[in-house]
Amino acid sequence: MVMDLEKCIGCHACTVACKSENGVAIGGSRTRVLEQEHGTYPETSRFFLPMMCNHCEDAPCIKACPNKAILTKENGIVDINKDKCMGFQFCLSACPYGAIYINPDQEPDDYVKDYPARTLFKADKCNFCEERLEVGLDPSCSNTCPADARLFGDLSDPNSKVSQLINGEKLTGLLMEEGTKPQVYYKDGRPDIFKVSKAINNK
Amino acid sequence: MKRREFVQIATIGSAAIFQACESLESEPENKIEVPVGQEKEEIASACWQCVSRCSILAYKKKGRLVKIEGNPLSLRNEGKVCAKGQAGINQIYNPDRLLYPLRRIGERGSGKWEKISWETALDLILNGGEIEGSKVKGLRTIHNGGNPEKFLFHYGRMVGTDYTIIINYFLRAFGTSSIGNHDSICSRAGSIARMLTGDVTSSKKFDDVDIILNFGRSLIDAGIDHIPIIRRVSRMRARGVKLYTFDVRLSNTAAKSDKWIPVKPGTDLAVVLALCHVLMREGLYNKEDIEQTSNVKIEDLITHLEPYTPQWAEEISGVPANLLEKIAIEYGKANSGACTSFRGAFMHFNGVQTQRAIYMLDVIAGNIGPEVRRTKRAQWNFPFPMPERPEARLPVFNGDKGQFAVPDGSISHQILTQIKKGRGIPELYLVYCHNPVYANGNCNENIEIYKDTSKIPFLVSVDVAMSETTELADLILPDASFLERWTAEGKGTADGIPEYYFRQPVHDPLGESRNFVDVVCHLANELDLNLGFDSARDFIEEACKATEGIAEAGGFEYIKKHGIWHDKTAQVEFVKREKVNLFSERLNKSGHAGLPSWMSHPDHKKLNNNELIMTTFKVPVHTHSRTQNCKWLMEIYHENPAWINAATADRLGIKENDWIKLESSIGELITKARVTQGVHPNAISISHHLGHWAFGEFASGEKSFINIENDSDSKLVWWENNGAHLNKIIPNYGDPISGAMCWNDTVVSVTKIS
Repeated sequence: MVMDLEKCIGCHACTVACKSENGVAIGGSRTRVLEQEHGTYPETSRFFLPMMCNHCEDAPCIKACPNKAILTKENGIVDINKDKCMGFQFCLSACPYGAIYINPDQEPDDYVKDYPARTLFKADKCNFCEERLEVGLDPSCSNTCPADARLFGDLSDPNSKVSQLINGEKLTGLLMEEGTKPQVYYKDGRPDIFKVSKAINNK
Repeated sequence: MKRREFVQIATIGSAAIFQACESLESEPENKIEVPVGQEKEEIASACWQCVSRCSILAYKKKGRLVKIEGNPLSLRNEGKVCAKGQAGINQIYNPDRLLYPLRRIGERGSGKWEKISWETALDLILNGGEIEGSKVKGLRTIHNGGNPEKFLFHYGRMVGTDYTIIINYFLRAFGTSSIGNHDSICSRAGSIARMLTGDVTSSKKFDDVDIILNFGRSLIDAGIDHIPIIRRVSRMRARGVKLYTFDVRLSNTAAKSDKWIPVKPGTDLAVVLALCHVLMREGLYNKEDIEQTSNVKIEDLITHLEPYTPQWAEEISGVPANLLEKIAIEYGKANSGACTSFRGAFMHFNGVQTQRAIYMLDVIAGNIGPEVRRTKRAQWNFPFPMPERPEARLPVFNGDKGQFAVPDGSISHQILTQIKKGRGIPELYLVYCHNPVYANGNCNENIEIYKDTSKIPFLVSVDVAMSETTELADLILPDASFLERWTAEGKGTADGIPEYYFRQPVHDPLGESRNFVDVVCHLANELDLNLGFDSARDFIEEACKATEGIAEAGGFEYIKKHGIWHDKTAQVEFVKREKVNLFSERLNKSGHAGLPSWMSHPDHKKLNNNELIMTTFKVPVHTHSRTQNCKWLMEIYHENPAWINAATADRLGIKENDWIKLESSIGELITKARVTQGVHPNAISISHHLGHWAFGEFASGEKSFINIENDSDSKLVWWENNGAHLNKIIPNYGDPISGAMCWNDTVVSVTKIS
């Protein structure tokens, strides 16, 4: 996933797309959009930062889980095995991006109870809408983004749509200094944004 | 609803509430029973959370709607849909939804209701009857009695064939032109400016310009045509089109512009006049073009604009003179530019002149051209004779005599005060898909007037959920949500390709709710109005047969399956432009300046130390007042603190998240402060949307008495503050020319609450 911060307009279409696609409960969140204001009046600006699980190559959540419930799949997706998750919550504090939440204690309605995101007391986070990927669809957030700011694809394939769109531009990730090797990339001409993101996460 | 809940509600209220609840309790426990269908089903339909009306695909699982996506066949929204649209699911399954007709059994607004059958409800509307001991007249008596105008129909939003059937067929056949809308709280000052000035549509497509000056329009936050315009503006930004946004507040649009230029509220007019001045002074115009395009002589224009120097505008607006010079010259030298504007610029005391000045700027800059670019919009053909528009109309739609220079049409936010003044009594006042109590200014006065049974004998509200207006009605009819109805829609793309599409039901309306358009067809039959069709669906099927191109493409069934049909044969037409009336005879005759001229708001001339000008805005995830029962949207945006400039806050001793009191001439509002570098120091800016007191649990934190507890998310709501509603302290002003609501002019004194 590549987030084009220049294009993101802070509309939250992705937030709701994720909520409905995955049946995420109120209080839970697999993706969100942060806002930050910069500068001094009248030279003021506002930046938007879509955030989600970074599917890190070196994922701290995997190391933190005492029951080995989090794994990296062959396709690179970092996923939570709901059967093994005991709800210990170590992964929540291990993740520097705040991308994991614990599903709340509330018996879900019939129509959502089959959604993995509704498994009671279990950790939950983005899985790139794997069921959609399997049938050739983009993740729900990319699919609806009206500003085309969330691009999904295979960056290692130079012919993929996402590679073409990036066109060799330098990409960076969030909190690179954490050494997590995030697989969600951010495209933007303003490195100051990334300092911001750390500040937000430390709040 | 469970017994225990009833007892709790009953102990809070009176015996009458208990009675009402008893009658509700006899109903099955769970009214929301969705039909069981295929495992997974896709239905092409159309959104209606906002006026953009994007084409959507609705996905059902086991008969229940679970996901909404954009329809990729749409050339307008191109497979995309916004947060609001996707949360349309929350409108259908809103636990506080109205699911059966209700009749008032206590005082108006007392919240005491009895559930009645549709048969009883329709009999009341048609034949009148008794509401709490008072006799009320029904449509039959009003129709047959020779005063059809005493049926007042007041709607907020109605689109596509819903509008056609109700306004152009039913109400015309009935004989009433007593029709209120919401235009005067929306964009009336802009539309009146255009009416006075003439067709200023450019000969160039908006998307093809090199520079855009945006005055107070939240283009990408919440613009009309929200998703289509986001798509277009994104492409324009990628192409390097310059975008300058003049706004009181750093909107998301301003944040995504090349520059945000903060303007003191109500002074865009001064800014625009100064830009015009610089263009004339610098000779960045073509004399022949201006004289050919407009009705002014160049010498007159030069003389008129001479005093409006950038220095003069800086004094008034706070925008630095050198910046105005720079922008004017850049605009004047660009190959082609365009101004865009909306409420932030023109829903002000001086709004009509502001919008006319913006037109003047584009005439001077040579951006209008000798021809009008006409794109074709979808034109459905309806094979039923349309009745003539009736004359009969209550005199409550145009303000006081002589109050407004151009009172044409309907100044609908003043209907209630006109009724209060005794200008006319609507025997039956029907509110449809509207919430005037909340959506207009001065909410408390609106409530008082709606409660007065001597002025409004019979108040009916047709709504999807309880609202601040609906709770005052005598009779409530539950409407189908937008995802449970048949509507034929027609819009056009920026490239001039007409898009014909349907809004079709994902399943039958829940509970006993009914598509009001079908109810209207029934009423018409009962009244022998002979409309020629029996339901919205009939009407649409016939329109598909009668509309050129559609029948050949596969007709009704084709659009039902795909959602959309495009007329790709349509061509963009260029027609010779009528003269643009930069000088308005009509304004001149009514004592206003014929050429766009400076007008200052009398209350803004001198502000005391703690006085600020309150302005309003919209956020991307809500419509003005109809999306607050949507849990997914409320979770994102449920608090609307007042934006106050950091320097101003410092002066007034206000810090982030302090509780503050705003006091206007009509009341007080308490809310939190958001201290920011992103708003003009003379402004205090509060979004619309929030502070509902009669909506349901997700909007207000309070379950309504009709809540059916069908959503496990109810218990997971984590936010406590549901925001404040600023309309309570905004008077129902009208600007002196058009009578449009002055949303962005109210002076408030601001104090910290200790």
